[in-house]
Amino acid sequence: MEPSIALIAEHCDGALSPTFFELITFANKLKSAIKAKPIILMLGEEIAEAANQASRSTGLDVMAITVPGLVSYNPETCKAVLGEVLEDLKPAHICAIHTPNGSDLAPSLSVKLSAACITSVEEVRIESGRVKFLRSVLGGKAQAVFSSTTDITVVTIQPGCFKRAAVCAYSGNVKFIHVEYSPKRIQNLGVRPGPGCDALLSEAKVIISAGRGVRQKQNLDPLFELAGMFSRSTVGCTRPLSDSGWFSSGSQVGLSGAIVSPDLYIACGISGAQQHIVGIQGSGFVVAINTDPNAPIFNHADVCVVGDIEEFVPELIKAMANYR
Amino acid sequence: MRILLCIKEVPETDAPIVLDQTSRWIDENNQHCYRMNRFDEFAVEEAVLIKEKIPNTILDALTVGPKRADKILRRALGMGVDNATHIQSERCGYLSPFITASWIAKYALDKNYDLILTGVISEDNMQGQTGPIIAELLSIPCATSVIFERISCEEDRIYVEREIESGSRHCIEITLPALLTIQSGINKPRYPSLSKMLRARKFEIPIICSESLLDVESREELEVVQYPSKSRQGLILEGTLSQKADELAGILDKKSLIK
Repeated sequence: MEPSIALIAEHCDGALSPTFFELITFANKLKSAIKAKPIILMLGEEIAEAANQASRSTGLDVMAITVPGLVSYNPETCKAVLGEVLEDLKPAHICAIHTPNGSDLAPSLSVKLSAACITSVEEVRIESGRVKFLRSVLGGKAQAVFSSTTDITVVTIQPGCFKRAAVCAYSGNVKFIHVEYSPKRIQNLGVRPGPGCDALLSEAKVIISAGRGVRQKQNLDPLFELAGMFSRSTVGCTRPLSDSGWFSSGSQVGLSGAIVSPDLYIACGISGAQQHIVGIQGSGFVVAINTDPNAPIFNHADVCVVGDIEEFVPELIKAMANYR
Repeated sequence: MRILLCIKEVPETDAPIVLDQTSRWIDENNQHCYRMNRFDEFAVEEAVLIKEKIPNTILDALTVGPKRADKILRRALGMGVDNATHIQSERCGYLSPFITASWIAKYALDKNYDLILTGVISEDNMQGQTGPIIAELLSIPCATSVIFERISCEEDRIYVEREIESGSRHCIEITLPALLTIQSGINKPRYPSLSKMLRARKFEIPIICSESLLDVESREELEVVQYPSKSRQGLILEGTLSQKADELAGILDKKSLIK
């Protein structure tokens, strides 16, 4: 049997998740190197619609695993059922998106299948026939090249790193299989919606964002003053600042908060973790201010200012006053 | 109730780092500071909060790391943990989460923990694998990215909210024993108290040699570590802070970004 690539597709309320097409791009890159045929795996109670959509838009075969009672992700059920299916399938690569559920699944599956596990992959490269996975390490200050040393590899893909694949003209086959599993140790009690992101963030033309480099709460005042010098502007923050309670969680910019695309994004004291970078990559013009010249945010900025925001922002406010 | 806390020492990545191509990791000889993984601080705090609520709870902290990592065990003791154990490994460079998890699972196997807590991710490896792998090796249920938990009165189940996309919460109930990986923001980690730090300093931390626990091999290889590539060609402003401010204001004006 040819080594296959199993793609685990997430879906919600009968529709494919938007990141699904990023997974397809990744699979196409992988496929060119290892000459394997990708197959899409899906599981849930009612998945016919999503399964058909997946095969129609990709031209790939879909294995739709219907599990009665599995209305949304249950870690126990999904790990057990997928584990068994994959045990039979023995694909060389098992790929999922690095979502909260994808990253919950991957390590467990790797243990069940005696596989390698490489998570939050940002890039795949083929070097002399060998597959290399690139991912951030050390708070985004370095990037590491990983390779697998076993026959089976479980990989999760960082959302936002692969462009969405174009829709395919032909359709694949959908095969339904039926599995009964009643979870014994984890019961699903449903999903509660989050606080939602601050409407100001998604509509703002200018976002001044604060990171851990702010150090003291009083240092936020100049950032609000700076925001006041632009029209349609607001102040956002990174996760540590909303965790500390200085901002509401709706003000958080990044993958776990708001994905933003202002004309101007000024990152103040933000080091630039991958999940933050993905959240701001649609910005028109990015200015980064940080004391560390090697902060990863500088790799994604149009203008880099090495300096302390406590000293620099008041200077910038002064300088900008001349242009108003 | 007996709780195991798996905590990790990480290099301070807020400060500049130097990479070393021999160890294919951060240069250990280069004056880097090390501290407790921030996500693990939230896990320790959550355990201490459980101990304050549920009488007769015992908290054991465990780390896998070099000799110097005993500092974070003492910090955990200072925060209110009862015991600490050090699985010592002097392996330099990248350590596979599968190896770390295998050692921890081997250690925990016969200890009958009701609950195991870890941080959701480590700041250095950033894989989020160690917790779920430990759970799988011990055949206990696992919930990742936990932002709220409440143990039932009978102490046999735990209600958990997992943070999923855009801050939504996936609510589940799990039968104990179980493993949770704790997301940041679930609580406000306390500073170690002075009295507890005095005890922590004198605490004799049992040391287990990692190699004596289990012979296990990594299933992935870190081949190269490099400084990241650029997605934008940033102009680096030169001069004094006020010169930089003037130049930046000029650029923003030219781009019609100032109102």
